[in-house]
Amino acid sequence: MALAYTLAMKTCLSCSAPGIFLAACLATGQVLAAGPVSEQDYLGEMPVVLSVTRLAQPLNETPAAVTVLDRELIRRSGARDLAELLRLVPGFIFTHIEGAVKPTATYHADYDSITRHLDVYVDGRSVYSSLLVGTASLGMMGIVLEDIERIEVLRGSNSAAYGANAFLGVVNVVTRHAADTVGGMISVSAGQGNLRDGVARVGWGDSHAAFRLTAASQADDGFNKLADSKRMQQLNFRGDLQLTGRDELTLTAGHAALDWNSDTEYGVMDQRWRNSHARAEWTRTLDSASQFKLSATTDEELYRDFYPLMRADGVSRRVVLEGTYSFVANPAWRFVWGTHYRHEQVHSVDLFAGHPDQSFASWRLFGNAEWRPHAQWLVNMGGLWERHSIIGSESAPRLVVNFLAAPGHTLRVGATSAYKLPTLFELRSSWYLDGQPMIEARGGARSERIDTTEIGYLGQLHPTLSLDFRGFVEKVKGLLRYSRPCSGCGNDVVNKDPNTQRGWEGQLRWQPSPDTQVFLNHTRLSLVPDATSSALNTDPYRAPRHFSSFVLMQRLPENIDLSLIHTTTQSYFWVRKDDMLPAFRQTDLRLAKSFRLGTTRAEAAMFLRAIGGGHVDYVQRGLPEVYLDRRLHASLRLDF
Amino acid sequence: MTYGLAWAQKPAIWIVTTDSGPVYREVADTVRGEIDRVLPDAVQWVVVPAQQIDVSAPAPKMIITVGSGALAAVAALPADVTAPVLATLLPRLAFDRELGRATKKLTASAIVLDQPPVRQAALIRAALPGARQVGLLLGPESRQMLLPLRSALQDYGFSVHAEDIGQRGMFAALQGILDDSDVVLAIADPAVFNSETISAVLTAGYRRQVPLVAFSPAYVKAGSLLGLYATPSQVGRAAAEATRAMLAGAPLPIPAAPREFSIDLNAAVARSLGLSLREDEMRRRMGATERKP
Repeated sequence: MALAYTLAMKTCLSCSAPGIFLAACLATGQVLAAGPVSEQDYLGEMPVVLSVTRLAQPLNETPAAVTVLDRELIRRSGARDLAELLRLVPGFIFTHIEGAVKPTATYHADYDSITRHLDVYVDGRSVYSSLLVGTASLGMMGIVLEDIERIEVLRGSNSAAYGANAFLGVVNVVTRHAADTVGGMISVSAGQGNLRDGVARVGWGDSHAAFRLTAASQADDGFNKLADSKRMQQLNFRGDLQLTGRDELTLTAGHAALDWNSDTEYGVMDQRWRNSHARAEWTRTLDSASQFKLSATTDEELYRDFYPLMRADGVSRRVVLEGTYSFVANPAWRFVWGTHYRHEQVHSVDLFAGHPDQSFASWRLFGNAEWRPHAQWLVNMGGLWERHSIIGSESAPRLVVNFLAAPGHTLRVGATSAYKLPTLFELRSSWYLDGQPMIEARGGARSERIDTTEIGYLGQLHPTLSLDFRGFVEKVKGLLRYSRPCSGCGNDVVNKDPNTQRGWEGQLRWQPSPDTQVFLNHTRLSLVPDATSSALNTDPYRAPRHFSSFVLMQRLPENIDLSLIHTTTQSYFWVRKDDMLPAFRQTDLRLAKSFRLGTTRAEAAMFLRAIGGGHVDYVQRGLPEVYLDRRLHASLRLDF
Repeated sequence: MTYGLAWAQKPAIWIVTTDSGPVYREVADTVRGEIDRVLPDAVQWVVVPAQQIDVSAPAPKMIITVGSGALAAVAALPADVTAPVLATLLPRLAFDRELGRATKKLTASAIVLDQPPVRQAALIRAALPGARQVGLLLGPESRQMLLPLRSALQDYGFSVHAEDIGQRGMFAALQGILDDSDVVLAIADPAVFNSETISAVLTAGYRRQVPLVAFSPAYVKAGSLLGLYATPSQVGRAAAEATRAMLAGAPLPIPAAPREFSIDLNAAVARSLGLSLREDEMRRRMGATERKP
């Protein structure tokens, strides 16, 4: 399936699907009314529904490497959360930081352990949390996989369309249109490690107005040898309304509550995270070649831990307003431009001792021009400019050329520059551990930058075999690091450690028959520190030198479905060089049978993680070893 | 006297159009043009819109109607007009309906707009070789087509999921077939496919990556992936062929679609779905697998 909503039309990726038509004049002047069929049904005019601005860009025309995970793959992967799914995308590594409760995925290298350099969107809302250091890991857990229509993963920096935080890549999650989930769904899972999950969903309405409410709960005791149990509960709402022939409104809202404990350097900590959000997006189609979108989002978060010596409790609130206008000027030129305003405030007595209330505002302007000088050539020129109330201005330009060399074979060459703004924590924090200053940010932190040049190929090698390849040189500058200016001082947050990430990644997709699909991902990565970098932070082993994943999905007779996932990762470290994570392999197996109970569709499945036995998943001095066990769980899903 | 006799031997053919609209005229002009080209000056043509039929005109050897309104008008003519009727440019159901309503016995056949199910199945197979299940959304008119459609589609290796909008309503029926179909084949029925419902059908289908194969170029412009249809000229040429046979003494052919057909492709939708389709390639594949009906 080649379906990636136009990257240039960034907010199109928030996908309320095309649902408008033009009022068109009927050439014959007759109104078609239900009645006997006549030649008028064959000869009459129809309004244009799927106009050019509403159609998604095919994958070979996107100005970036994109991997799409569709609903079927998500279901057959057996994954319980988004981070786990991302290990099926080339270039992504996946682990559990400090325990089962923190599934963490990152693209290429992370330099921290919290998915700091990846931006994740759900229906147009960024789930990147600026609380504390900034991470997408928590937000990624607040997504119900059964509600997802597809995930578009943009591998590579995308600040030119997404702004700060889209440093290494963007994960864009699109949930199902409410009209597509009318009815009910229940799913329950139970398994080893006291795993108990449940999802209940109800949808109502029709193509004019449809709504959905999903309640989900996930809980387990984590890995055997650790205290890392969790419970996640969430309630999500979505409404899709066709207000008039040319106006659509999409409403989303939700609340997530995550409680967990983890084995940390400071002992076992109980932690809590809460998130409430609401968003409205209005799309107006002006004519068959242009449209605009306006959206407003509000998001609140709370984090609390119960460890007395080093607390990091805080609340944050964010308001985002965005407008985008896109139009097709003629067959050779398409444009998108837009503006984005955000205001974020944080309150934390622990993190900002002395001045617990902090805030910032930022404006962005972005635009992209897509030029087709010739049927086989496509040029994307775009960029984003941001003005941050504390840091000042940043910009992220991008230039990408796609050459459709032959039908089914596309080459892509591009250069892009991206940035990551420091969070309020990195600029202003004053954080004490047991009375001693641990972090004292002096406000000198500036944006991290990454300049990428890449070459890509997307092609059909054979009717049943396709290849997606990306070769890249990613120059990272000014990584934010902790550094003590004097002994006894708290760590300042400063920019240093430039280094280069170089390598290639690819995915081979083979579909020898409609019942068999095979994916093979492989990534080769080397980190080359700059002469001025500090040895630790840019050590070549900070990311695995190569890693791969293999997925087989096979339909068997009697409506039985088999998936086999195998991942291999070379040795690397996350935090300290002496904490090398040994190389590991993991094989997971899923078997499912679908059947009917009257008009209800049902699927019973079992998922065995690490059938070859477990492996060490994360190592950090002072912490017990994080050992990912073999685990079996079973689930039953009913759709009415 | 001889002159009058010679004149009287030239057969008259009436072409009755539903109204004076351009589409009907195109069919009429094509028939005339084709016959005049191969049998110059052999026919006395009487071309009139339905409201202007003159029953006192010379009795025709055959009557060609263009459109369902024209057939209705001809069927209502007095019983002494007994010429065989070739109805053109109308759906098979409209033809059957008008014949059923006629108060007198009519010898009639038709060049219909409905494409043969076998051809529709062949097109879907040629365009989407990996497709396994075809969805059908049927209504009060099109539900009669279910059996021949199912049979032809199954012959081409498809399984069929058909929903009747009369049972669960349009929305539920559409969601039902989109859930498990790889492609939807639209069959003309104003209760199911019209300018009001087309938006919901195309957008819901597009969200699920399920393309629509429809029956007119207007649907392709709207967003349908493919359209399989016969143009007025193609209908006219088929009518001319039947007329020529009639003039040579053959009986009316059985009601059928024209041999010639057109395929329209929405290239933007095809690209967006990751399909690279070419009309000539699809025709070639259709020709290769076409089974004689």
